[in-house]
Amino acid sequence: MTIIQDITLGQYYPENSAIHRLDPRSKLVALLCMMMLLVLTIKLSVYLILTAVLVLIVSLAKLPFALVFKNLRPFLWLFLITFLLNLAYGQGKIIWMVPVVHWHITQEALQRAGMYTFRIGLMIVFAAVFTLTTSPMDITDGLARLLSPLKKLKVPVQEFALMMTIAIRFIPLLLEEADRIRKAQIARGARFDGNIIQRIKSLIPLIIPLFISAFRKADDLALAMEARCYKIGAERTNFNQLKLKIADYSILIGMIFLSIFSFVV
Amino acid sequence: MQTQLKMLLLAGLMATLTGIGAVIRIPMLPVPFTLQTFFVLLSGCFLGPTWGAVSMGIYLLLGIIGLPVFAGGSGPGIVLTPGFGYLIAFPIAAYWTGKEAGIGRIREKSPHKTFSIWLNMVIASLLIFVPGIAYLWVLKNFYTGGSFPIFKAIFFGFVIFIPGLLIKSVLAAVIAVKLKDQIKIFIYG
Repeated sequence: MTIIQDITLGQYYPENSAIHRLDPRSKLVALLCMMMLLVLTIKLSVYLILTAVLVLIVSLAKLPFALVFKNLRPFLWLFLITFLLNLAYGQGKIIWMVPVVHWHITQEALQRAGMYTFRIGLMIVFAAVFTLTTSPMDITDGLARLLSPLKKLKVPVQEFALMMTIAIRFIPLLLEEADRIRKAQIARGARFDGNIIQRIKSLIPLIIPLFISAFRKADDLALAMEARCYKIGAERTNFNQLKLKIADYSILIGMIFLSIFSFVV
Repeated sequence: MQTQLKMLLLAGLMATLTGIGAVIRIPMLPVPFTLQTFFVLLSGCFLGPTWGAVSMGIYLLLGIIGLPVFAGGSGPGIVLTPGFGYLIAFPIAAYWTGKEAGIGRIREKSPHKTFSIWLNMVIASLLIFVPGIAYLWVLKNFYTGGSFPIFKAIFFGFVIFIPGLLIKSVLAAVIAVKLKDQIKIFIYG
């Protein structure tokens, strides 16, 4: 077990760019909008425009292209299967007959296979660009604000956001704690090697102190929050106020134009 | 002190611990052993059905927004991978454990009680596999055009995990019984 540096950042790539500075809410809305466009339309012109938009966003965000495309790697088999599957079925002009297995590859099938693979690729890259340019804390904030109308339906949006924030904040702390406990137990003569049964048994002196430490941390936190008059369900204000700026409005207007264009063309 | 506030904080921390459980991995045959589902079972056991399920929901959200809390990579794209079915089932499993083997139900330290807790944890683990296998099967068929047989999905999605499942549920039941007093003191003062 090793301590991963800056684990709280997740996939976030810190950089000071126009895209990073955008309000998380407008980025979330834009992402959902792109996904909708990709699901609802299957036109090459729309996809090419979205690709152009993507390239523009990535260069504006100063993200290295290699990093963005690295996110596609776990999905390579998915692309391959989608492509081959779509290639296998289709009527129309046969352009190539695969010998031995008698596969007919038609022009339509080839086009469709290309488009579907392209679609999945674009979806994954858009989602990756979003998580690369928005920190988990910002995403939580943005989600909480976007979903705040649900409070009228008695959905505890604020409490959910609080739990997310606590979980994000505690990941590095508890990982460090786990490492410290492991070292402390080794110093007391505990062994973390041997056969499977011994190794699994050796987890018990690691897990129990970890739980106790987590409970203690939660207890301290509860006391501190209580002392500051935290009350579940009370109306709360934020220290970091989210505010839509001109850039956000222009993104949203751009998305509206893009959607209209995609459906009209 | 407010019990609800403590439950809320513990739900957040259990989500974190589940994420850490995905990092702790012991190489084992046929599949590596991680503590992910172990913490799923314990979060239900410690927090009760509702808070346990909430805690696992938070865990899923953490992974989807890109924190490295899943064993096989995270980010929004995870939804498209065949392993996502198991993750969706985590809240359900936590709910079951909370309902049938919750900390409130452990009264005394008797071998009989430990056994019933263990049994319910096994049932909860099996509940993880139902949507897990279904999602694996549907997605594999979706990508391959219906040539992935169900028995193959059951074998690769379930049978090879049985040894790990049994070990984890024993570990979880033992730790639940060991820690029950600490938890009761923590939650109810």
